[in-house]
Amino acid sequence: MCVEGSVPTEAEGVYCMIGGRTSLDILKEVSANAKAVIAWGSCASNGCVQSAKPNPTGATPIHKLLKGVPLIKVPGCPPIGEVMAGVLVHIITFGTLPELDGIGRPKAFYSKRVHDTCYRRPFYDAGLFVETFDDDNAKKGYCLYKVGCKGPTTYNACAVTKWNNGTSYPIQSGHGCFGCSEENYWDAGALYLRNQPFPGFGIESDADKVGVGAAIATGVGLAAHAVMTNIRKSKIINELIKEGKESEKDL
Amino acid sequence: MSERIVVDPVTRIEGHLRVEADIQDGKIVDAFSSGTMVRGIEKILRGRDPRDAWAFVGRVCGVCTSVHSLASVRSVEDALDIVIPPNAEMVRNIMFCTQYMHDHVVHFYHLHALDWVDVVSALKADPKATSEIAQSISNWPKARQVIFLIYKNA
Repeated sequence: MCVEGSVPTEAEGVYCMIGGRTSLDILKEVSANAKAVIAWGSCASNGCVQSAKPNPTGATPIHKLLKGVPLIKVPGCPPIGEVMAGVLVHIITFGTLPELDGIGRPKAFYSKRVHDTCYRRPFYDAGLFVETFDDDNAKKGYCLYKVGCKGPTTYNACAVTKWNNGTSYPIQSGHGCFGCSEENYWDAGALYLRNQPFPGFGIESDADKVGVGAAIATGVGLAAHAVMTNIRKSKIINELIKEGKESEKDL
Repeated sequence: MSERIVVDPVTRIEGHLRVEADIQDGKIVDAFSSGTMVRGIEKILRGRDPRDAWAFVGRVCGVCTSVHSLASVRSVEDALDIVIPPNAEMVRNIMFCTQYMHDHVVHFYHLHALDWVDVVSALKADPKATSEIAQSISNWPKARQVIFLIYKNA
């Protein structure tokens, strides 16, 4: 079963009525015999825009409503077409679910950060940043980190598959990634404010030293998210080092 | 004595809509329409950075996203008395026109086409006759009999 959209649960679900029934009612009925559930997009995967504070309708992502059935999250607002097709083709071809990460996203598409696959990454490493959208650095195509790019905290395949048959993707068009496939991204700091620094981990220590003021302003939720991202990141790096050592033995 | 007809959900649109019509002697004498879903985006926007509003507002619709975002940007500019340079207006108009074309294509093929096209019976279509019809209205190079035949047998 494929589900698009989150489900409003406030006021007994009256905020989304289809044919006189609540969407919650319909979801429960349709999912009863589902082999697996695919949560299409950020709404179904994490609630997205309607669940942003103060979440007036009690919008709830699918995994919190359906228990006991395998669930695949395909977040993104919208998710990438090729990724959606890839998930379906995998299920149809192999008859099994694709390999998922810790929070239920297919590893094939969501195991790398947008930052890791970004073609502007060399500018980040070199400390060359766009300061405002109309400066010379923007014209030169420098890194958009300082004008709010959330690539360093976003796991998705945008920089690899790109959009519209591989034409471009937000960063290539000169606008930072705003992390639309990450949980709670609407409340994780303003779109054009610099991303939260990652204190205490040192993985990004080559980044310029980000002001403490920004850290206070962006709040605990974002910090927690950054920490989680870094835990995942260091886990991936550790696994890669281990893999490298294993393959060295064969040399 | 009038009879009430209820159409819910109204399909072929993005979102949720219910229409009720009162019919008397074969004519509609009164009608009511209601959106049957609300997300409260206006409430969510309160207290946020005005530069971010477009991104929230665009999510109102997944088919015509850009026009909602554009309207939001214009509202913010109107509220703050911001006048944009002519080049920016041109870039926006190009974006708007692109979206206008995109929107029509999406609306027709994804939402409306099922009223006009029986997708399953398309497999029984005659590739030659189909290519002749297609070529009579467009010079698209792939509207050829052999290509339709390949798709049919795929």
